[in-house]
Amino acid sequence: MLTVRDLSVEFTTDRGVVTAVDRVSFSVDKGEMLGIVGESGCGKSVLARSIIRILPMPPARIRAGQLTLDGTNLLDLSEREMQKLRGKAVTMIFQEPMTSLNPKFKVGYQIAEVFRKHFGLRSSEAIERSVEMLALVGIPDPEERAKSYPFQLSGGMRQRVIIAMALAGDPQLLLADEPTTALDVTIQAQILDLIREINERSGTSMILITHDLGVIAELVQRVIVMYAGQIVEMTTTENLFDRPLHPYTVGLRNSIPDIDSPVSKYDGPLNEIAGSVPALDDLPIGCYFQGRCPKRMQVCADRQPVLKEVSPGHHVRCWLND
Amino acid sequence: MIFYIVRRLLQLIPVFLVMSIVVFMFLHLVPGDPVDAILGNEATEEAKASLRARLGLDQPLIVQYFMWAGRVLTGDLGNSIVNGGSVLDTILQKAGVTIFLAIGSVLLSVIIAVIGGTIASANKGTWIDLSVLGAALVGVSIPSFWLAILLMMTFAVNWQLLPSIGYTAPAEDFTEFVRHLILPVVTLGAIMAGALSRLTRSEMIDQLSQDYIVTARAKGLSKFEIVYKHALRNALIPIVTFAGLELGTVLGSAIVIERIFSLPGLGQLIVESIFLRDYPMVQGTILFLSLIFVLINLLVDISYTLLDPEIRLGGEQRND
Repeated sequence: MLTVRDLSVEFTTDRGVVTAVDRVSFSVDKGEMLGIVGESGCGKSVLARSIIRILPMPPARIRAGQLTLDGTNLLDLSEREMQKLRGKAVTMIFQEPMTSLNPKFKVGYQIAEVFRKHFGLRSSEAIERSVEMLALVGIPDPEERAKSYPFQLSGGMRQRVIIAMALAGDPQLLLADEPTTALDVTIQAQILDLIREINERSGTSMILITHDLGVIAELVQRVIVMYAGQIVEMTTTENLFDRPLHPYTVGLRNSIPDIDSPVSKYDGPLNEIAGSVPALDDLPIGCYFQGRCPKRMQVCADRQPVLKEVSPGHHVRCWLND
Repeated sequence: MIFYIVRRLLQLIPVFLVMSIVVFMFLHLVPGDPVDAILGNEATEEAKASLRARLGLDQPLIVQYFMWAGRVLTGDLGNSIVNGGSVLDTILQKAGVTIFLAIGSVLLSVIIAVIGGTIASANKGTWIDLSVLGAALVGVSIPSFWLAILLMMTFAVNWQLLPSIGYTAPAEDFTEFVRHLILPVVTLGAIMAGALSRLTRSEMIDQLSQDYIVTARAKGLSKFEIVYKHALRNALIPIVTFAGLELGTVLGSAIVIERIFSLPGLGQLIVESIFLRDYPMVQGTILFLSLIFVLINLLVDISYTLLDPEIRLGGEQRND
């Protein structure tokens, strides 16, 4: 349904052009939930925003071999044509429920905007439909809550409102950028349940962006691991946990604390991946992960590995699997 | 919301108290004796003493204040020393010109600033933005009297499109009233628009970088809807606050502008009364202007309840 081939996003900065997303290729099938994981700054949010084309351009520049949604080449569309798709065919929800809603408008009105814009409904009908959407995402007393301003709602409620807003257009593709990161753990679980339910009921394809492997394990079937703007591993969720091949993926998996082993002071510190993500304007020749890799070889510093399919559906960018 | 307004009204009481003391004291602190002014320097001591007694100037200051404040509360601002006419009547008669001038120029500046500021913010860093910033800088830097003379020379003297000085009451001839006010209103409006458009621009740039703007874009809203509905709605509070302050300061600028354009307003009245040492008139006019200034600020405060739901519903509990 969504096909992305050789998508790159470059930013023009004071210190030159940096590549935030580097020749990324993947596809999402109808009804599929794809996860994208990686540390902050790995390009996962930029990737999602470039699909829906809401990056500020300039400084951003998108280049792609192909970016098609249901046969429509998104990069060929004018901004006006793109506006007709945003909120309807493809939409996005964000990390910060506290600030992602406009503080000066009632939440019902903010959802109703989608109905008015994309379905041409009159205000009263649009408000009725938004009350239905609020009920759908499990907000109690939706009629009253539609009249609330964002500051009158809790974080979890607001995230439900944002999800309701995203679903209002009945999108084919929903991009969720860290939808649960800013929420309490119990609320996180509720929101994840809601997302799963929506996916099962409406068959909406989703791209779920997160740095939380727990969320990945809960929800998605297939995962992309990104590092410094590149895909370093792409495989099923099962493989990701049982047979990770890239040292970075292994490191990510090992950094999850084991809930079953009691933590005591003899256990030593939590596992982590040493070092930090290299700056995008200061990337090494060869493999971008070489500086932090426990299995570094000479070839890693000389030449950059390519993303290879090592077994059906399992792609890795690492010289170890060459 | 009612609570908010009542609280604002109660807060005005000490403001009025301090204001009245300052206005009262002001006249007793400036050099020059009103009795000398009225009777002239050659008057006898007895004549001076009897006038002092008649005006209550022989009483202790505190008694004088309460006598004056008591009269003010009943709407009696005294009579002009110069012509004996009622101060309040004179003020009310002249207030219209100043109020039209003030409201007209502030409205003009808000219109220019909101259009200029939002267009600049939506095109940040481009030549459009730079042109608006440049024009705003010119507006901020030009002295009002100079712009007034320049406009007068261009439109009244050279092109003879508009009258250069004078005033016609709106009831008399509305077209002439408008024609006479155009140049003074444009002078003040253009100058105030400078600072206000810079404020609008920076406030809008701030709002346009907020998360809710990205949400609005992801919904498919157009740039126009995002800028003029979502962002401007959030930028309004500082804009309205600043416009309210401008409305206050324009009362001060009016003194110069009314003088240049010979408008018979409160600014002219103050200047003339000071020259004539017409103390009750100066006192009354300043008190009246301060009162209007305070009321404008009250209106600005009340407008917050319309602009910000969080202030309007301040008492309500969050539904966590």
